[in-house]
Amino acid sequence: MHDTVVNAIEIKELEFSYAKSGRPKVLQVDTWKVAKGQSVFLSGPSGTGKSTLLNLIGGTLPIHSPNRGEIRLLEQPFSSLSPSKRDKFRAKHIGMVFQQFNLIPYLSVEKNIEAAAYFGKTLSPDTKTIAKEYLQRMDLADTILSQRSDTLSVGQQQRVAVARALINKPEILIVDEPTSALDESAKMGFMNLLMQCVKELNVSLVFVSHDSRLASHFEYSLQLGQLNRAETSEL
Amino acid sequence: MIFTIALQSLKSRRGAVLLTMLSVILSVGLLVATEHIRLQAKDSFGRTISGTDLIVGPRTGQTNLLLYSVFRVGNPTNNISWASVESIQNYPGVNWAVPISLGDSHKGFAVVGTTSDYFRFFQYGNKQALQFKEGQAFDSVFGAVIGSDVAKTMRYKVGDEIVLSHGMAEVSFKTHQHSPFRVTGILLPTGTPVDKTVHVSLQGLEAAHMSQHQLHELEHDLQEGEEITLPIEQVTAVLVGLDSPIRTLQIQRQINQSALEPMMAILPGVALSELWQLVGNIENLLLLISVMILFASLLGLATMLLTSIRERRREIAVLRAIGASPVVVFLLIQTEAFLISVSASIIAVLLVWGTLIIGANWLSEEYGLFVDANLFTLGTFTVVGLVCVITFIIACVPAITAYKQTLQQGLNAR
Ligand SMILES: Nc1ncnc2c1ncn2[C@@H]1O[C@H](COP(=O)(O)OP(=O)(O)OP(=O)(O)O)[C@@H](O)[C@H]1O
Ligand SMILES: [Mg+2]
Repeated sequence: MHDTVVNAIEIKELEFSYAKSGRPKVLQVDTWKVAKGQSVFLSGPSGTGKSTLLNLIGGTLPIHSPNRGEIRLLEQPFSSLSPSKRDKFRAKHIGMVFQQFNLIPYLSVEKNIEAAAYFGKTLSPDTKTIAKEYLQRMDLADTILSQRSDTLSVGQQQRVAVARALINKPEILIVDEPTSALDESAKMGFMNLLMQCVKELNVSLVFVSHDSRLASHFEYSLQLGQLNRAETSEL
Repeated sequence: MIFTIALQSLKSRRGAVLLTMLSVILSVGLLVATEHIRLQAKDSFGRTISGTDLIVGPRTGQTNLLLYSVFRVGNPTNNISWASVESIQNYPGVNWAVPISLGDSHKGFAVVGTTSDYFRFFQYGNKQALQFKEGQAFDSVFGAVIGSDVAKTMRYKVGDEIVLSHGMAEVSFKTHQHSPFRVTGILLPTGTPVDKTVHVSLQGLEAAHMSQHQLHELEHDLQEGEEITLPIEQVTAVLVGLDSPIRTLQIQRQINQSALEPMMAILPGVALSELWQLVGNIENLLLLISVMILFASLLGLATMLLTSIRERRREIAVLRAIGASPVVVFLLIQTEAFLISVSASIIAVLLVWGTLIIGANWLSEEYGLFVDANLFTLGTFTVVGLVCVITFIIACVPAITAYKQTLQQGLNAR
């Protein structure tokens, strides 16, 4: 993307509820912007729609009527792209990391990363070198590449997931409670590595967690409730 | 990449995959074997007689005449007179006419009375003539030429004495203990009913039905060096070869309208294919059953994949997160299905092939069944093609399930 891009994420007039009619509205967001290179910490009680919002931004949940609204990514009308274009856009420009199960368990770390490069159309002989570099940034040894990913510890898996999410040099990184399966020390280590990586690569980060203590790592944090006007039943 | 993922995914579920593969291997193998044997049977069926343009016998069904004159199955109820045989031999356009007389048996093998012309003119397979393994055709009343199976089963050698009986039963009441026929020749295997036949001269067959007293006199005369002639009154059928096949239908009509006695002439090829249709129905049923078994095993494959989809929700979510489209997920499941069924098909074909190579010798030696081990025929490719098509259709169920799943839910890894 060119330098004139200022907004990484831009949400307008979003209204969302899950498919079947009669379901309560999960999200109602009038407007929200995340600037390029900005890191945002998004928190809120369980069941209030944080993951739903991330899925909408990532395009893994499409906006069909009766849901409405527009999501623009990198100044592109992302939510109105055709599904296949959206998939391609996601592969190229968005990295996603979840709470757990980020890797295909029966593939090696190398194959997991290669698969992401393949779908992002950046797979080349250099991929392995780049992968090693990112693994290093996440404080992982090269030797991990040949290991089957379900043999890794959860902390290692989460760090590989970040390296994998960054392999296509995306502009946007979406992260959903990546630390909730980690113990305290692993959590701090992970946060430090992630934030450093994001800063160096100038990636826009949306980080979701209900653990408000993590907010200290971010320049900008907000409660989903400040954004969401939908009446969600908080659990 | 999809291929790599599919392969690794299957490897990670080795147990279920191997069991499913086993069932596909068995069912594909069964179908390939059935289809192969069906084609082979049809082929060897058509090989039983060749080079004979017409078979002439008393009026009966054409299948019936074919069955007893060529396959030695069933008993002829009527005969035709020797005068008719001679008249047929003199028809213009008739090259050769070999009479045969049926109805006798020797230890369960059919005894056929004929002339030594039989060994010159009878052909099987692709116009192959009969060949002697040992000895030669009979030139006397008491000579006998035996098929390879007869020789093998009874351990007869050229020069051995054999006893003939009347009627097609293993053990007959009226065994002709004193009819000293001798084996003059043993034929090479043909894979046709000839292998299970004892051939004697027409006169020899007459002699076999004489009383002991008459027989002794005959033997005596023969030892004295006297010319003996036994009148032949009737034969069962006549095999006819024509100068040119163009006149086949014309001569067939002439024989059918013969003024001498009611007779019928049949074209062996036509009668064979009519008979095959009868047998073919059973073969088709067998084929149908094999296809059903194949279908069932492929359904098992689809079930295995469908069950796995549920366990693989997270994995599919990961694929979506890294930008794989739902079509990729669909293709992944289809690739897995194809990997299983295609590799199972290849293994099945190789297994059947190996079995045939090892078994072919044994089959031909023990049962005179000639099976061509060359499996790489159109039939086999049809089967493998069929497997692919059915696999695709059936695997659509799990593949579409996975496809839809990726469309409807977000990526909440629960
Ligand atoms: N696939 C789905 N189908 C239907 N309803 C869903 C689905 N996913 C989530 N919901 C509902 O939408 C609401 C918001 O869910 P969401 O997962 O976005 O919450 P969350 O803020 O991420 O919660 P948590 O902190 O527990 O992860 C919940 O009421 C949930 O029941
Ligand atoms: Mg959530």
